[in-house]
Amino acid sequence: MHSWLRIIQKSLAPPFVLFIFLLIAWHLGTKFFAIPHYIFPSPQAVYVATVNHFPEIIQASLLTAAAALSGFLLSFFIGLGAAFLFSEFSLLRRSCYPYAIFFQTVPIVAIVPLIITWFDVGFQSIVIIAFIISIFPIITNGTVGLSEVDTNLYSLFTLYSASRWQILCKLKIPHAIPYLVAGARISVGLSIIGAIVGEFYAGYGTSHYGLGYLILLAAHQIKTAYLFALILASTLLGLIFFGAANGVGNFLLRYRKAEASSFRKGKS
Amino acid sequence: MKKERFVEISDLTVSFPGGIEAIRSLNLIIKEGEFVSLVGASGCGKSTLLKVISGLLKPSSGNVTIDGLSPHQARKKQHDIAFVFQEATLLPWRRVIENVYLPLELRNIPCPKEKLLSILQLVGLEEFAFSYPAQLSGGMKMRVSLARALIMNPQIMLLDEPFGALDEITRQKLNEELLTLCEKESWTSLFVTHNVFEAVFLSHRVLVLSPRPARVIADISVPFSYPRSPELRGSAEFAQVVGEVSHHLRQAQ
Repeated sequence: MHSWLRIIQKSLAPPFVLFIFLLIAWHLGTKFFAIPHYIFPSPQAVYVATVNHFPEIIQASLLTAAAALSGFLLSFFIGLGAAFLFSEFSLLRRSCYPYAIFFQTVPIVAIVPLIITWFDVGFQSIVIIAFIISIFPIITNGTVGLSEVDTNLYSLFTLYSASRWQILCKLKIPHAIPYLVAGARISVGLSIIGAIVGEFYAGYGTSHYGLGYLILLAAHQIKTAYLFALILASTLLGLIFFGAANGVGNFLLRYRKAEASSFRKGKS
Repeated sequence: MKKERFVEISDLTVSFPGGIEAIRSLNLIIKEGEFVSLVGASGCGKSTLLKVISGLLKPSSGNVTIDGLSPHQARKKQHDIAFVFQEATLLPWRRVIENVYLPLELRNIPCPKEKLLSILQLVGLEEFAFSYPAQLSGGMKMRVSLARALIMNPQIMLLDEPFGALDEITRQKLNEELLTLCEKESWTSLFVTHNVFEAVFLSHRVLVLSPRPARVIADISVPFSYPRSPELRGSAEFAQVVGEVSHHLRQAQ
């Protein structure tokens, strides 16, 4: 049997079978208990809502994706800059780090009205909310990655008379990459949460009809099947973001994959 | 002409903040081209001594000179000092060949690929030039570490328990390879180890250090000529020298 066939059989088939099973159970459940469609719509109703609202869902998803991606990219580069300053200047780290931790514990939803007061409703506020919620994993992981380099490696670079610049580019930054990848994986998920929460509050009255805004709208109008479709779209968006971050991360960390093939040559 | 007083350590004391004295009044003279092993209990200051000789650590008092220069000056004048750590200390994101090139790269010295490959051939790793460290076994990583030290044509090799983490068979094999390399390149070596057999097999001289603060309590010449064959390990004379070193080690406790 081909190896990809075995993969399909082993890891894709069981969840797929379960999915079909749950779909049937969902369908029968709504029929059998006669649940009103505005409480819990049937799978067909969700499908119909998806098809009917397809252009809006796609447009809203793209807007939300743009806000989340902008917020994430801002948090990645600004967070990396902060991590760099923290790792190079220990006084700065010692004075600012406690505040970075403190701000991380502020519930983002609590400061959303404040951000809207300052920046008004619209795309910019949503990006800022996504940015604030997703920056801390980058700062904390980046700082650890840039500063906790193995002392022997550091000695080695000193012994070979490496400059501070060489130590940064050839030792600290490559060492920080696995940490930044781990931070970015958390951060992309948070940026979508930030964008959707932002759209709850700052997405109306403008041209920004993101997923968060439509979710509120659908809930207020008791279009529950449409609401389901939007939740599904949000989930897919999260999956795509996470998958992209994972893909980039795996590419950057491909050196970690030990291939068993090289052991066959039998050297001790 | 080999210099008689190539590395000279006089009245060296190293203490750390907090009052721990790692080395006290240590005197040592090493000839050019000599292979000297340092044995002693763990934590006795052997590694500290290597760090001082390499210039990574400043002595609290006393003097270390290499060919009449301070370690720092010696390094600047291309009297290259190579350091091999207990762990291979490779950059995991670089391929084997890029790891070996690192010392030259940091000094902006170009190096043809052929030379890098020939160094890898010397340690038997030419087929793995483009592998990543994660794809290598412990012994192979250590060979890369040795190749990286060799690329600078060092005058002094400081080896801090380089084979301590390896299994016995790999260790013996690498000991033999190190000796072969040593004869070819004729550098001066200081080798820190816990393993008395290894020390006697490799060295011209074995120094036994006392527990902290470290002093030289025995200086034993190893009377066997080079090249040494693996069979030497089984001979009665070899056992006798090992016995003598072990005896001093026991007394040091």
